[in-house]
Amino acid sequence: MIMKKLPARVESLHELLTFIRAEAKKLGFSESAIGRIELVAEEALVNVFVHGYAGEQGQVEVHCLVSDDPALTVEVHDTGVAFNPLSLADPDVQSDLTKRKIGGMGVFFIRKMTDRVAYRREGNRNILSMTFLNR
Amino acid sequence: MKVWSKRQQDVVVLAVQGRLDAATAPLFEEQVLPMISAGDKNFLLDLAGLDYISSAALRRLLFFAKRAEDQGGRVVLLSVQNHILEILDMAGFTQLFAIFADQDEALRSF
Repeated sequence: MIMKKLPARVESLHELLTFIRAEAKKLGFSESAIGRIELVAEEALVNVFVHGYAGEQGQVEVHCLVSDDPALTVEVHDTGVAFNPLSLADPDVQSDLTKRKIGGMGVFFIRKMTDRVAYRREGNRNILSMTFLNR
Repeated sequence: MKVWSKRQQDVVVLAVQGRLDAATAPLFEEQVLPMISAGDKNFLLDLAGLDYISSAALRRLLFFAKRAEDQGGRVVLLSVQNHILEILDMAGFTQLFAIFADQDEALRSF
């Protein structure tokens, strides 16, 4: 397992995604699969940047775990208020432009593009675990 | 992320290159929203050079399109790469935006 810890703010996004991309590449994921992994990771990270610390400063950790499936599991850890993003409802992606709500899409992408996803609270930590099988 | 703009009659063609994500989408918005305030309302987004889009960028794209519609205009998309199209489709954006492969055809649609 390897880990990267940075301040939980949007300025950290590219460095964290570059870290995840490199791990996925080492495992032989295709470019299109890596694109989806980056997208899902961004959605999880942005949730922490925006909501995790309610305007206060905090840290975010990205853990990359490899398993024999073969699979890559990306975990996003924060120590903000307890929050399970998977409890959010999906947006209505069928509504037209005038009615379409702005928001709610990030968690929808996380659900759609992971092979497994789970939230857990460990002590003061929120942990969102997202697994991608290398097919 | 880079945006180039040029005018074709009353349509602003915006060529977007690189990544539209949570870090870069605000820069996109800073460049395009003033055009609506200045009176432009029809936009053709050429996405041939767009490699990556996330929900943060989709939100801003939606906001931009709503603002253009409020002024009686439209935002249409051109030359969307397949992996981007997949994301747009998943988000329901292929029902919200007209998508073209040919620029002349796209310009004629306004």
